Amino acid sequence: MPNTIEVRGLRKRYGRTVAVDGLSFRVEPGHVTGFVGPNGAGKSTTMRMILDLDAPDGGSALVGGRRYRTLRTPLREVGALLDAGAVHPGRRGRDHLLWMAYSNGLPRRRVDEVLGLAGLAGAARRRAGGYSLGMRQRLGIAAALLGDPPILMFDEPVNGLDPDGVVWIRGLLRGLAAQGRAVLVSSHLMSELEDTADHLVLIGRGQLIADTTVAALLAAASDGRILVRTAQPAQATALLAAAGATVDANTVDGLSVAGLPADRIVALLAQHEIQVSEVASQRASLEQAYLALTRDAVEFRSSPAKEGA
Amino acid sequence: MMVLRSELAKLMSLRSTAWCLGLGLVLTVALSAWVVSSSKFYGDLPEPADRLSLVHQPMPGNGSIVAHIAAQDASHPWAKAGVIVKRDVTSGSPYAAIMLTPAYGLRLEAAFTTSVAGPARPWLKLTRSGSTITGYASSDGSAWDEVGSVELAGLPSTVEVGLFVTSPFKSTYMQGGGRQGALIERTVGRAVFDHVRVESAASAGTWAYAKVEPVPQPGEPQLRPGPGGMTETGGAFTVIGEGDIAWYGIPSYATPDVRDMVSDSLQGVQIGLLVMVVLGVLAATGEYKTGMIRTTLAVNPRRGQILAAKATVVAAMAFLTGLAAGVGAFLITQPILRGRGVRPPAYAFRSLAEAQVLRAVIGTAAVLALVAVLAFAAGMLLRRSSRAIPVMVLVVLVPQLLGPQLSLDADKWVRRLTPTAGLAIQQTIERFDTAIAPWPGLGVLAAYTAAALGLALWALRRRNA
Repeated sequence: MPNTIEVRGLRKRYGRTVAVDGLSFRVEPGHVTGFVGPNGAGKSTTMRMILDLDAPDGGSALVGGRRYRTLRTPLREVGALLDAGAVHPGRRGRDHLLWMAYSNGLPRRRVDEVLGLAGLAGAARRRAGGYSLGMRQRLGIAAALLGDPPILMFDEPVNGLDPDGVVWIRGLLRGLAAQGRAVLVSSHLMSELEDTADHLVLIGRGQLIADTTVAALLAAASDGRILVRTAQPAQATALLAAAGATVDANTVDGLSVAGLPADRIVALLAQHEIQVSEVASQRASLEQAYLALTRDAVEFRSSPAKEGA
Repeated sequence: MMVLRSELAKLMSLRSTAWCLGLGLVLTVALSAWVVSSSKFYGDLPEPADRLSLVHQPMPGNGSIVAHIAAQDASHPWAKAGVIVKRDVTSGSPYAAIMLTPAYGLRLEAAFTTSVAGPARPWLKLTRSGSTITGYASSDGSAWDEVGSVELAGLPSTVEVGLFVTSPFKSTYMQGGGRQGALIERTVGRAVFDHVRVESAASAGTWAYAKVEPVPQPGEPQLRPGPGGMTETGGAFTVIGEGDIAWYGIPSYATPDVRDMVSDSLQGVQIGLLVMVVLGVLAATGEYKTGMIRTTLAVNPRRGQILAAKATVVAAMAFLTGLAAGVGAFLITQPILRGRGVRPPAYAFRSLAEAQVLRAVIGTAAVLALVAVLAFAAGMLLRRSSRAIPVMVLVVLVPQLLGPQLSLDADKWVRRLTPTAGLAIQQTIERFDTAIAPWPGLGVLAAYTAAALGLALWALRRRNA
């Protein structure tokens, strides 16, 4: 059984609102795949349909090549954190995991293992109603790990975690992917995934915007811009513009130059004796790339998205 | 089995479950005890009914009285015409009699408590020998079959013997506006006796007519004098009379207000039902309130299995609690009932070893389990306690509150067609207001529960979680 999540032409409508509109993508094993889009883009709906909690109006979602509904011990095949609040407040954390373990024939010992993994061993016998949001996230993550599944899905796992928790979950996600598991992590903030995800699935208004690697996305967004730091920005700008470059002087760091290769810029500036402290190819942040893409997506909503956009 | 264990662990890990089960048990037993302690239905037994038209003469020593019944009006199925041996003509004095009835054939009855059936023949004979009275029947007046004999202690040497006619009141039971009552009408019986003779060593009496009626106790309503009388033409006596010679143990004794002591003992089930409604509803809405249902269905995506497991766990918990509550309520109420004068001959002492009592007690547990599952299904369909609990309380309580306000017929239909029918399993006697037999009643409730579960499954498969 391939450890993948495969979404094909998924559609879902709630009343008059189209939540997911013909979405297709694949989550491959061995990578952390970021699932990104603004609030309301359809991320959670898609994840619910992958777990067969909501019935799609069209298309299909397969985990490990099968419909979720046909799995006999789903915890051993797919681990999911959908809503950390979905815990009965009157139930102790450990009991919450115990009934799940029973239903999938998992040993009791595994419950204590994942409680330790999630850093909840000390709070296991407290009722979930008294947990902080961060502790509930950890309980939800422990639940996802319970069956040691090859496929994992986390919906906004970073929410409510303290900085230590954020560092912990990034390490955890990368570690899970390194073990060859398929990991899908959603977020509405690209920056949360910057150091974690290898692959990105971007959606907006229920449609796919981009399905790409992080490196390709950054390269495309950087667009060959060169950063130039100089003590004489005005002269430099005039000179480079005259040579055919587009210069953006509104950055804090210096001039952002497009349309000329780096060696040509250095030669030009040296020729005119303009003092330069740094010339570097400019690396766009994932956030900037994302904003650029979603802007495009709004402008060209009807055109099919292509890799790298 | 995994899913059952899982759902059991899930439900048991909530404090509300233990509360519901504990409260259900304690409140059911307590309410049962309170109901039988405070009910106004029990108290001293009424005096025996002894109201008849009597044609009599004294018979010294041992001897027999013989008569042929030439005709009897069918004024009432339990009208009686026959020969009697009685200590004296005061109402309530010891007697033995053999008689014919229009609907129930021949009976030999004595002392307001004994009644024996025999072959219906027109010739009747009673023989006194000391304290033993023996009844015979014959189709020709010469060959006699013995029907039976009874011992009648404390008879003087001279007793009254004679012919008698009775015809009981006809009662029509009605209810409405929360009250029950009977419309009582007199019926008048008539019978013709001939070939009347007293066989005794020293008999030379003449026939006299007497209307035997109880003397009203102070404060009791005085009945208008009933019709009665006797005419004799050529050795044939035509006797007109009304009333009955009967008490508990005599089948003609109409006891519409006889209580079903077993179902009275289990009335605490009313509060148990409400607690089980809460248990069942919470088992469902606890999932929806928090979004837990999505975790539940992700952990086991087979809807039918989840629903069946939850229903089984809820039913098992309610049943076991109900069984403990039913046994506890029955055992705690029996001494209370005895203390309140509920005893033979009006009421037999009941025991858990009787099949009917066991049916009522175990059936009560089954009713609680079925109602808990019905409430669970309602919770799954309505998803919120704030909707499902009121709906279920209406379903459980409204028929019971509404019923007594309706006419008897309408009330019976309510108790046949609504889930309340399940409580019929507590019946151990048939009364005028019995609506449905025990097992069919439980079947009606089970049908409602099954239908609600089916609907819940359909919805669980179809709706978004």
